[in-house]
Amino acid sequence: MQQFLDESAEETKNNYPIEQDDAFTPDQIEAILEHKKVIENKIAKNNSVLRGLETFFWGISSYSLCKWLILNLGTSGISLSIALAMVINQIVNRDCLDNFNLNRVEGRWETTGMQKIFKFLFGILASGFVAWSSIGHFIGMVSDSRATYSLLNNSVQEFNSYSKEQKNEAIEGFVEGCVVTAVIVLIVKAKS
Amino acid sequence: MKKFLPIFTALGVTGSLASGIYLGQINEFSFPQVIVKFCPQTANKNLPNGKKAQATLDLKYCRFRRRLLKEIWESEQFKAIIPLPSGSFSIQEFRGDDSGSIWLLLAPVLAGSAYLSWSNKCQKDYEEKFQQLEDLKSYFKLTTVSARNEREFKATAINQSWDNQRVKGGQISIDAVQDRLNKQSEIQDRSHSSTVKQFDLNDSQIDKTIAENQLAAAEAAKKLTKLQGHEPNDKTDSHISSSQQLKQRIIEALKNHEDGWLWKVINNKKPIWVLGEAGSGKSTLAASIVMLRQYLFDMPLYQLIDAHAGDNLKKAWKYLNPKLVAQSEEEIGGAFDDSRERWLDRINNQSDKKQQQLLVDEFTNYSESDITKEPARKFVKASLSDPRKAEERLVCIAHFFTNTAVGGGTGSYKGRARGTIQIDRKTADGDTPLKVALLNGLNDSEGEAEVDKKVSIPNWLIPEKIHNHFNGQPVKLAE
Repeated sequence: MQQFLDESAEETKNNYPIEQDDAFTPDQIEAILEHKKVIENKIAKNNSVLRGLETFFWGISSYSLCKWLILNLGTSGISLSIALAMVINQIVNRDCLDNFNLNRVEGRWETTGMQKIFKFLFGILASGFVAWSSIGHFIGMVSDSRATYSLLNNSVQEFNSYSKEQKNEAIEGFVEGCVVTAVIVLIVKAKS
Repeated sequence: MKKFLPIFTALGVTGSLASGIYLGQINEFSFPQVIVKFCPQTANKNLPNGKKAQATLDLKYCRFRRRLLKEIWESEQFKAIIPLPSGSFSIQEFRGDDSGSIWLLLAPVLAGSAYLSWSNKCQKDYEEKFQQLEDLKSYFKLTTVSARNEREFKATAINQSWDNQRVKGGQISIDAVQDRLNKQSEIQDRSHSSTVKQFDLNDSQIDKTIAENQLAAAEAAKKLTKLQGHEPNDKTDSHISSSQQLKQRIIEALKNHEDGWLWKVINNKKPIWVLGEAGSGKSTLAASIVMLRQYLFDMPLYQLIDAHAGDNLKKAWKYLNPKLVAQSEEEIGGAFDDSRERWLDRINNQSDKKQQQLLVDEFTNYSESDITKEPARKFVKASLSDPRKAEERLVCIAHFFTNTAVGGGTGSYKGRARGTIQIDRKTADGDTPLKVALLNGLNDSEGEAEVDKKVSIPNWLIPEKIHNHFNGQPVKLAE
């Protein structure tokens, strides 16, 4: 049926002087391709800036939110900040693990998508860096505060305990007392 | 609007950086803290040297102020087995400055806005560039078309100019030029009409194909309905009613033929003997009677007993469909005996028996054979009463109605004559049957059997026409 229609259409064309729609000339095609190339370059530049802005967005979001968490939650926010940084990394690099495959083929282990794994690991490092830069100073403050408390504790213990001279005096007194007592006992026994 | 999008992007990036890094920066003073001084009290407070002792203690311990996070101070105090005595400590609390908190939340929002602005710009750029490309293509196309038309116009103008020059120079006449133009115009007109006809031809061929497809679909549906024996619907009802109409027409034709003797014969339970010489149309009439009973009363042909069945089934019996066929002498003898047994069985043991038919041909020969002679004789004798009770209609063919011709029986001719219907066909040349026939044995209104009543056989009473009538080609039944 389609062949019949095509044939009849061709016959119609041969009988009827239809205006043919010419294609572009080679020069025009070349000009169009050139223009297209220029357009594609501009679009590619725009897209690369867009990708950069996306990375910037995730980075600044991760940094700011980590800081906000520790500012409002204190030490409880440390683990949350780290988790948040990891989650954002997972969101950004969600395609990395999907594209990585480890298969056993003919007795050998074969991997595909190794570059994606490297990208994922690099992402983890970057997330760790962002998290550290946002909460690292606070972690230091926490450590210092604990050390200060320990010093205070030591001071109190020092105050509550005897001094060294007092300890020596006490020992000497005890020893002298024992000696005197022993002499008296001996004298009494001798007399009796 | 589009030109502001890069500005929004830049502002978003700058704002988010300022919010996150500068305005939202946090330091030691952002968190709640405590300044703690350990100032123990002397036990010699009431003694003369109490002041001196206290001064010694203050000099030793109370000079140092220690700063730590309030959260740590409280948590360590909570965790300690022996918390530090609060009476010996001078504690000063400082609230943290968390004013940077809001800037930290604003930073992602500004960054997101920058991203969306640039994304919007990219989309608009893409659409604009695409439109530019399409405009360029349109410009090229239109320029080309315009240039081509201009060239054609100029070429035509130049041709016309040269034609004028030729006319002026006497090379061709004005009439010749006009004639040429007329011919060109005529070719264009004929091309147009030819094209229009081509379209019409295509349309008609498409219509034809559609009609053929619809017809095939309808036929397939009809066959499917017939095979499946579907419940009556509109189409099935009309089919049934048309079938009833065909039967009714035949019945009316039988009833209206002469005095209706044909209908009485068809509808009679007596055995029918079709007699006549060779070529008188006995087989044709017998087959027609069997077919009519089959179509009108749904009586199938149970058995055909015919020594020439092999040949006759291709000719006279072409439209019959017997369930059993007996052809050889042994088979015929056996068939006669089986028939009698079957009749007795149907009479005695089958109360809901369905009507059926039995056709016997070439009876004249059976009395000659030792194998068939006795069975034939017994068959004929039993046929006077048993078939009627057994609901089996008998049609027999013989040359004559003598005892010998009808199986060699020695019984009463009168009993056989009254107990059967005989139709005696005639032929003038032994090849072409005559329409006229003699009817015997059919009872009239007073119960008396007709004797040698002259009747005529209608032209449509042949197997082929009866078959066609009930299979899509109704015959003209009027004489």
